[in-house]
Amino acid sequence: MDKFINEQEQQILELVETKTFSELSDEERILVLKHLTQKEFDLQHRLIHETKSLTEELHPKPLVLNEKKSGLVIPLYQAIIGVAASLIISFLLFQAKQSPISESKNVELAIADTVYIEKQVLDTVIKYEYVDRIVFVDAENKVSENAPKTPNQQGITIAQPFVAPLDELKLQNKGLTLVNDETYSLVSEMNVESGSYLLEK
Amino acid sequence: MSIFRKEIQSLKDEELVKQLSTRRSNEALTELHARYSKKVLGFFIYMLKEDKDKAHDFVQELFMRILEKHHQFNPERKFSPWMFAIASNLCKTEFRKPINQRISDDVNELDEHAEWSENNFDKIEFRKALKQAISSLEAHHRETFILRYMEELSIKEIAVITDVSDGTVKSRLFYATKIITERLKEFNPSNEGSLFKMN
Repeated sequence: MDKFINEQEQQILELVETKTFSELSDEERILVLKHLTQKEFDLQHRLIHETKSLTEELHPKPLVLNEKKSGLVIPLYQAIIGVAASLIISFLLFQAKQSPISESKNVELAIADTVYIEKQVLDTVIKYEYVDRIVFVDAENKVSENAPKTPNQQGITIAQPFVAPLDELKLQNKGLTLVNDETYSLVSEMNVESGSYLLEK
Repeated sequence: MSIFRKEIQSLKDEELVKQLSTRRSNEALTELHARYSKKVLGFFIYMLKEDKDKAHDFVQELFMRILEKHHQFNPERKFSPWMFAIASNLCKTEFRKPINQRISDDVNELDEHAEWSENNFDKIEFRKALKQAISSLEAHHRETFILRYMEELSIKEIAVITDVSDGTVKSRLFYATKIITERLKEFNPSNEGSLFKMN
């Protein structure tokens, strides 16, 4: 616990700090000599002033700036303001994109005597149109738009009915049954209308 | 570059602290270091009982703390008391460490090296004895004495830094001076009896 000093001791302390004994007034000398000798006073004055000069002989090392620490420190409030500003700008940009195009049609973009407008012109237009058409599918699943050709158109000669030269045939009936009749072989192919026989080869 | 340097040099301490939050923080800090490094080095050397290596480290650490805590500085107040308050706290933190982790706290060790027998007024010897006498003071006396007579701070500023009343500061100064004078009495040519007649 520090003892408090009295008023006279406080005055002596102030005098020791500021004056040498020879610089004291008569009143001050009387006060000082009540407590200290002249040599003691001068010694105290000297040590105080010598203490002031103790730092003169010191040579501090140059300051090493740690990049990590010496970097710009952003206070929290500035960081918050920065984030808020970014959000507002993003919101405004989003709103601008959302606005209808018609609103910007009448806006004069620039004042100029020559304006180049780039326009893409297509030289080929492909138009798709649906048309109903008849398609023929033959036995071999070949699709064709044309109707199948007739045999004559295909160059196929249709076999002419074979007229057997009955007059030249000398078939004999060897019995009473049809089996015994040699003409039996002609019966199934008999053309009733024409009276001729069709022979399959 | 030299224009910026001159501009920085013309700024007051308090304005330099403001610059610490700008891009010119390095220049501002370097300027503060140039102005105060000697003073704070002296403070640390005597507070740390002449451990010069540690004192140099503490100077570096102090300026890094200033850079980190500059936003806590009140620009309406003076810079140097604020800086010494940080320096004082650094020393208090050091003193709270276990003895084996810090510098020797053995006052007698310092006394052994003191050349008290050299009863002369040689300036070098006097300064040597004075340094040792300061280092041998108790921490609270030492701090008050250094702040007052080495750093030349006012009684009120020291009271703020050490968080005591003005009266306590004066008392500490009075007794610290008395103790040092006792240790330096060999340098008093009269060397008459007791140094102080008062209690």
